[in-house]
Amino acid sequence: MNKRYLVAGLLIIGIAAALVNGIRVQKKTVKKTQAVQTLNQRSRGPERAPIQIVEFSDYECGACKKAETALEELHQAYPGKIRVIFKHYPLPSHPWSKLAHAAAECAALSGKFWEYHGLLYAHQEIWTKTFNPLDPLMRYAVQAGLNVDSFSACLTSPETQERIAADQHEGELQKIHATPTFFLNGTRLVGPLELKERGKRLIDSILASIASSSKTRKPS
Amino acid sequence: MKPFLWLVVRIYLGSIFIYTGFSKLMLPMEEFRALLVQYALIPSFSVSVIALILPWIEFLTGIFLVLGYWPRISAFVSAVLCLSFVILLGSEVALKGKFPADCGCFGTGFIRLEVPHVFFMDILNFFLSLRLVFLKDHFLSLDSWLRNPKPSGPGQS
Repeated sequence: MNKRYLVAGLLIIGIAAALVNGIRVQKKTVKKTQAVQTLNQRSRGPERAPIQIVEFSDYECGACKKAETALEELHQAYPGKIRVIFKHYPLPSHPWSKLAHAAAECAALSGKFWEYHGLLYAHQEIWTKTFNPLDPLMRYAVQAGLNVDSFSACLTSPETQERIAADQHEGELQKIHATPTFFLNGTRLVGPLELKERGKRLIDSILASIASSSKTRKPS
Repeated sequence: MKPFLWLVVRIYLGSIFIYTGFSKLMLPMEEFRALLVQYALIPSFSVSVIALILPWIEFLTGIFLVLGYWPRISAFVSAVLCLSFVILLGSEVALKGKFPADCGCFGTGFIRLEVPHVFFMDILNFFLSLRLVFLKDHFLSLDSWLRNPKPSGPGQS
């Protein structure tokens, strides 16, 4: 091969790689772990659990519903070891999603977030296909034992929208493009399949490393 | 006139690959991996490797095509990529009866195309790439300059 060819090729590849990496570094505004450190009312599991999962989800997305089953399986497989922190990430392509997230946020104010959250996913096929999802959302509020008056007032309150927008903004900074996206102790997992397969392997390795480090710390 | 036409084709193909490769490189790798997982034809063990390598191959192939560096080899890689995409999308239709909702072809940039449009564009791009493979001389290419660093005129196919 001609020496000039080689030099030109290496130069092109070098400049391209430097350009891509330069832009990538510039765009990295949020550290991976930042989402994990943020606490909110939408969490379940022990606060000091060794496995912290931050979930960015959309109530109208089918994959998010599937991921709920995967999350539940992980909870059952590792009792007391996992803490899940939920973040609102309604996608603009889903017309009723924002309203459903507002409803869940209002349920969170009464300490009924996870009950309502479960109802939204369980009946996803119903409320997403109606012309007016407000009726089923109110029914679920009654089912979850929420005060209907304060719930409906909360639905339209700007504070509710602000809290959802704050989660969305955090998701955008984390460059989330697909739901559900999880951060398992800072490691990004996208989709239910990744959570189920790679998530389980990650949890096993984290718990194993914790167990081995605690063993070495014990006095002989 | 013909050499100019093929120059335009080369730049068109190169620009597409630069765009698709760059937009994927700007995404977290996991995002692209999650899109690849949906394809039945891709073995699960290779998903991570493909997600890591494919955007770079697309990006560099695009740059090589635009600059005309190894244009015939780059066009061959482009043809292979286009054919793979056609097979991949076609297999989804054959196995599942429909195209995937998001093929992951254009990353998350400003270009939004429906998956069937991407499928037909890939078929077109495959034939265009194939034509470039058989073109002996590439007008205004780095390749012709590297072979002979004197100014050269339009070439012949």
